[in-house]
Amino acid sequence: MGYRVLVVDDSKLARMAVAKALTTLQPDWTRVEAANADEALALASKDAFDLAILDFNMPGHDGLHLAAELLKLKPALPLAVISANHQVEVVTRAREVGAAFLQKPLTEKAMAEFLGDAAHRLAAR
Amino acid sequence: MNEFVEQFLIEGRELVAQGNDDLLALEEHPDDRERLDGAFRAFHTLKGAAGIVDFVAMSRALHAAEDVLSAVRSKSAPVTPGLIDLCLACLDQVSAWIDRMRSSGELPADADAAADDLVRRFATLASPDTASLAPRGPGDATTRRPADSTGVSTIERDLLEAQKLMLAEPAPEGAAAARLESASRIAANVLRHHGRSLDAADLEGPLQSSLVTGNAEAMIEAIDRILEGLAEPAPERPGTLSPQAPEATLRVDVDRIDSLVRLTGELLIAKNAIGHSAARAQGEGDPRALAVALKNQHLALDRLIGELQRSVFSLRVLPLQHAFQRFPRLVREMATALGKPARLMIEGATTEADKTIVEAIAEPLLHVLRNGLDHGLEDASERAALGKPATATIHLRAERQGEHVVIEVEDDGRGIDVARVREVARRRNAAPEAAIVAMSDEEAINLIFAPGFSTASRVTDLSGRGVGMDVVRNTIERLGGRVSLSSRRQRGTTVRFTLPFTVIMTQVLTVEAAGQVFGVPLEAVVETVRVGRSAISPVGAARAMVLRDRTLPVIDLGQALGRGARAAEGDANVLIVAVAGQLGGLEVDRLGDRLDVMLKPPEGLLAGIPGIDGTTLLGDGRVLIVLDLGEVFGNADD
Repeated sequence: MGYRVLVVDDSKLARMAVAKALTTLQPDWTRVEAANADEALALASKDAFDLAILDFNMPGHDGLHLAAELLKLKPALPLAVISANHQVEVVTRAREVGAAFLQKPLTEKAMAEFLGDAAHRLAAR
Repeated sequence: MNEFVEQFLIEGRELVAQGNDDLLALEEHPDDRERLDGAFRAFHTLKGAAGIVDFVAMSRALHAAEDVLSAVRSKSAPVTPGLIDLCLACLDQVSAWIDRMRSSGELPADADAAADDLVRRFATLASPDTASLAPRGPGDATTRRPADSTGVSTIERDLLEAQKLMLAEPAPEGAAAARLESASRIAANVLRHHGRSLDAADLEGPLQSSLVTGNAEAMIEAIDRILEGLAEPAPERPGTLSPQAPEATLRVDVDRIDSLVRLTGELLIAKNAIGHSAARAQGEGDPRALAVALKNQHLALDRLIGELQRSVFSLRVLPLQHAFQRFPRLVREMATALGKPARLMIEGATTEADKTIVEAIAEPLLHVLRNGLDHGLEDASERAALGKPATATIHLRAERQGEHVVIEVEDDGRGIDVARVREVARRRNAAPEAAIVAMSDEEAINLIFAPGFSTASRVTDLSGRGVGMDVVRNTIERLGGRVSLSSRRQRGTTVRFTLPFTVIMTQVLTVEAAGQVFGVPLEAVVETVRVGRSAISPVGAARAMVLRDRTLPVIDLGQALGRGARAAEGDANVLIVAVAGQLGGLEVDRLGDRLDVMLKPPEGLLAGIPGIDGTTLLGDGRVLIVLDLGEVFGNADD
C-alpha cells in the first residue's frame, strides 16, 4: 500500500523536485505539501502522513526545529531534512533529532535510500 | 520550456527582488539580523533552484555569495559597502541570466566566464591578502576591470593577452600554424560571447595573412583591435531601467479563482432556469407569469455577469511592488552618482493596480525620482547650512482611493522656485505672457509639464536627456490618469499620479483622411477592401458599392470632413464596418496601425461635436479622435 509523505519547503520549485523523485520511486505514494513550519504543524494536527521531508532553510522556524516539533506529535515519524549546504553542524543536529540528512540537489539514489529505510520502519510498526 | 524551468523563472525573479530588498536594508542597518537572514536565504534558495534546473554556473556564483554572507552571519566578517555592492552585482547577473532564459527557454551557454569572475571577486572580498598572492595571468592588476554585461571580462582579457604573448614568442618548427589557428579560434569565441559573431568572421583575413607570411603580427594586431573594441562598453548611466518584458504569467490569489468558480456555478443555475422558461414558453403556459420569470432571470444574469466582469478584471491586477522593487537600487545608484545622500522610503507597495498600469508606471516614476534627486535635492553642504538632515528622504507612496490608485513621490528638498519657473516659461515661450502673469503660483508650477520645459541650470549626466516632465504627463494621461504637483519652498515637492484602478483598453485602427488621423473602433471593422473608384456609384445624393452581391452605402471620410468630392478614378481604400447590425463602407485615404488605447470621453471643444466616440493620446502626444461610426452613418441617412 502507499504511504503519505509530507513535503515542506518554502520554494515550490524545490517541492516540485521532491515530488518528481517521489513519483519516480514510489508511484503509489501520495503527498501533502506545506510552504513553512507553521503550515506543516497545522497540517499535522488534521492530516495524517507517514513520513516527512523537510527543507532546512526556511523563513520562520527552520527544518530542524520543525523536525523536533513533528516528532513530539508523532514520535515514530521517519524524517529527512534536506539542505543545499552539507554543513557538519546541520548534519549532526539532524542525526541528534533522529532525522536523515539529504543534500540538495536531491539525487534519486539518496532519496531511494531514505524512502526504502522509511518503508522498512513503517512496515515493522 | 519545461515546468521546472518555468517555476525557476518565477521563483528566481521573486528571490532576486527579495535579496535586493534585504541587502539594501542591511546596508542601512548592518545589525539587522532578520534582513541578514533574509538575504542569506534568498541566495541560498536561489542556489538550490539553480541546482534543480542544472544551472551549474549560477549555483557556483551564488555559492560564493552565500559563503560571504555566511561569514557575516557567524560574525567573522563585517557588512561593508563593497560586500553589498558585490552581492547586488551577483543578483544583477542572476537577473540577466533569468531574462535570457526567459527569452530563449534555455540555460545561457556562456555563463561560466561571468560566474568565474564573480567567484573570484567574492574570494578577493573574503580574503584580500591571499587573493593578491594567488597566481595571476598576464596584465597588471590595476588594469583589470570588472566584468559587466557589455565589457570584456577580466578572464577574457587575460585569455586574449595570453594569445598575444604566445604569438609573440618564436614558435618551434612546425607549430606556428597551429598556434595561429588556436589563437584565432579563441579570439573568435570571445567575440561570439559578446554577440559579435559577424566580427568573428573578420579574423579570417589576419589569420590567412599571418599564415602566408609566417609572421604573427597581423593576428596580434587583430587581437589588439578586439581588446580595444570590447574594452569600451556603452557607459551605463546610473539609474536607468533595463527593459523588462511584460509579464506573460500572472500569479493569482486562490481566493479570486474560488470566486470565479463560485460564479460559474451560479451562472450554470441561471442558465438552467432560462432553459426551464424556454420549455414553459413552448408549452404555451401563462405568458404573464413567464414574462415575470424571464425578467427575474434576466436580472439575476445581469448581476452575475457584472460580478464576473469585476472578478475577471481583478485577475489582471498586480501589486505595485512589481514596479517599485527596482527603485531602492536605482535611487541608491543615482544618489551615489550625484553625491547627494538620499534614501527612498516605500509605502503601500502592496497596493494593487491593473497590470497595464503597473507595467507602464516604472518609467515615468523613475523620471520623477531622477528629477527630484537631480533638481529637487540640495547638496549635502547646502542641506547642512539649512539645518536639514544630511541624508535626504524621498517617499514613494501608493494608495487605493475608491476607483483610483494614487501614487506620490515626495522629497524634502528645496521645493520649486515659482519665480524662476515663470521666468523660464517666459523665455521659452511655454505659455503666452498674459497667461503666465495671470497664473496663481499653484498653476505656475505646473508649467514644468509644458513641452520642452526644463529648469536645469546645468545639464547633468542624470536628467539631461532632453526628456521633460511633459513626457511624464503624456504617459500618465495615456493610461487615463492625471498628474498634479505641489511644492513648498525649502520644504520639498510632491508629484502625484492619480490613475484609474481598472483599465479598459479599446482596440482601434487608425486611418487617414483629408490629412488627419482618426481612430475607428476595431470591433466595428469587418474587413478592409481595395476597390476601383468606378465600382462606387452615386445613388441619389449618396454613394454605394456592391460587395459580394450586397449593396452597401459608402461614405468618403475626407468628403464628410468637408473636402471636395474626388474624381472617380484610381482605387479606393474602403473599410467595411458593421454599425447597428448594418454593413457600410468607409472610404479613407490610408490605413494605419492597430492600437490598444484607453478611450476618454470627448472633453472641452470636442464635447459637443457629434460623430466623436472619444479621444486618446498617441505616443507622440497628439490627440487621436476616435469616430463614433453610428453617428457617422446615421447622419448620412439624413
